[in-house]
Amino acid sequence: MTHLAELAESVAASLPAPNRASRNTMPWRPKRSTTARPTVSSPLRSSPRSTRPLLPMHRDFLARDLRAGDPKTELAAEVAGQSGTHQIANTMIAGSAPTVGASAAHRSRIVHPRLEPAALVALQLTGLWALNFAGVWAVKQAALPIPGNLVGMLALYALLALGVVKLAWFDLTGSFLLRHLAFFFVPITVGLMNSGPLLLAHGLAIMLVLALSAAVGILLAGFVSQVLLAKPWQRGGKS
Amino acid sequence: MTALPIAAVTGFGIVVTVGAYCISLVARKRYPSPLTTPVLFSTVIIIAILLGSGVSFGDYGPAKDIMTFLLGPATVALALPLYKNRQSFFRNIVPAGCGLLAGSLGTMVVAGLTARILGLSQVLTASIAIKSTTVPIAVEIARIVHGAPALTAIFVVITGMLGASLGPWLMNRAGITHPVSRGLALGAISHGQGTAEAVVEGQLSGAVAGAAMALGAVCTSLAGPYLVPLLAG
Repeated sequence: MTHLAELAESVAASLPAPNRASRNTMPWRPKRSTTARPTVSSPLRSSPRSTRPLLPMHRDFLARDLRAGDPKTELAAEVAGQSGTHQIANTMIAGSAPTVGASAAHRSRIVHPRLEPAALVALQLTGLWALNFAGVWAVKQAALPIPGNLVGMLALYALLALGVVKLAWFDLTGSFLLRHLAFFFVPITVGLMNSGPLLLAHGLAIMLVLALSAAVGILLAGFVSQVLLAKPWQRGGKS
Repeated sequence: MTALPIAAVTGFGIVVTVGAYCISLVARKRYPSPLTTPVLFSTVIIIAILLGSGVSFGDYGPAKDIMTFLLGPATVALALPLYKNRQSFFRNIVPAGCGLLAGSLGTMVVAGLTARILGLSQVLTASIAIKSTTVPIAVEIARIVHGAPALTAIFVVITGMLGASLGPWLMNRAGITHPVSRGLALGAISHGQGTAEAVVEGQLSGAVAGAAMALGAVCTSLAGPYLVPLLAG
């Protein structure tokens, strides 16, 4: 079952969003698709949601995700013959790591629809943390001058692309962390309280460097990509 | 303050940080402007409170370690927007890839060279050259290239604000109109804040920006350790 379902999901994921939404005639599907829309869950996206107090928002978000794992919708998915991705996803979420065997899946079925949101977040967080730890460890072992967390990120991407793990396993916690990414580095920027004099002395030069390099970077990225998007080599061949 | 136990100071640090962050979220909603960016706004509040109550950055250290513990997992989660938006990026792999390389490396070289010309110190030059990367990764690169993580973090945030507010205007002036190009430039240079801006411009721009943010970080991490020593001297 998993193989077929994986295939079905990877195909579904590769389709553009509008097709995906229109394909689903189930009344519960569009609701879910709002959480998986292709736009970015950017850390600093100015959505009205992110400005609400932390806890109610989080709870609301969790509730929405759990609703997808409702037994009724699972049944509907089974009946529809597409062996619902949510069912698999929700079962698998409970066993955060890709190596989890049948026993964990079994256990999660028992806990499943009533699985505590806190436990769900804790498991997803453990998965993300383990990947980060693995990345940091690998970089240390190989003595490479690369950030370990970047390797963790690439590892997660590779696992997603290979279909070893599902987006839904990490989406809930990952989106929450990214939405509040700023919070996690505020304590680092507080370190500026030790470099006040330095910034005052060089403030103007620093702003100049930042503005100039940002402008050059934006123009370079924009121009190079736009010129190449026009496919000059093809036009040259035709005319 | 030294008389108080470490636990009390740590608790105080966490409460102040969480409180300041929540206030900054409200402030951004009420008065949206580059100055109410949560990072900037809450950093100013926290520093003011810490200075006012006589807590040094060293005392704040344990609280900082506790709160930044989740930064690693959060960085790993950047793979999610990259995965969700991979189609819009890889469909235009040649133009987008070349644009990304040109933008990421170009901004690094320009920042390093101008910092050098303006006579900034080695540490400042190293910290400023890698600023077009999302903060958690930039902070790690800063450690590798012997920059100052706190300085890098604030340079990254300022770059994000500059790019997100002036980038669209600049691209209008320069005739960069293709949504893929606009999203790519905003995401690659101004990471999170640029991506937020690109999402407002349109779905395609936003999707490309999300992927460009993660891939730009890959670019800078791979090139930085080799390029920055040349620039910073």
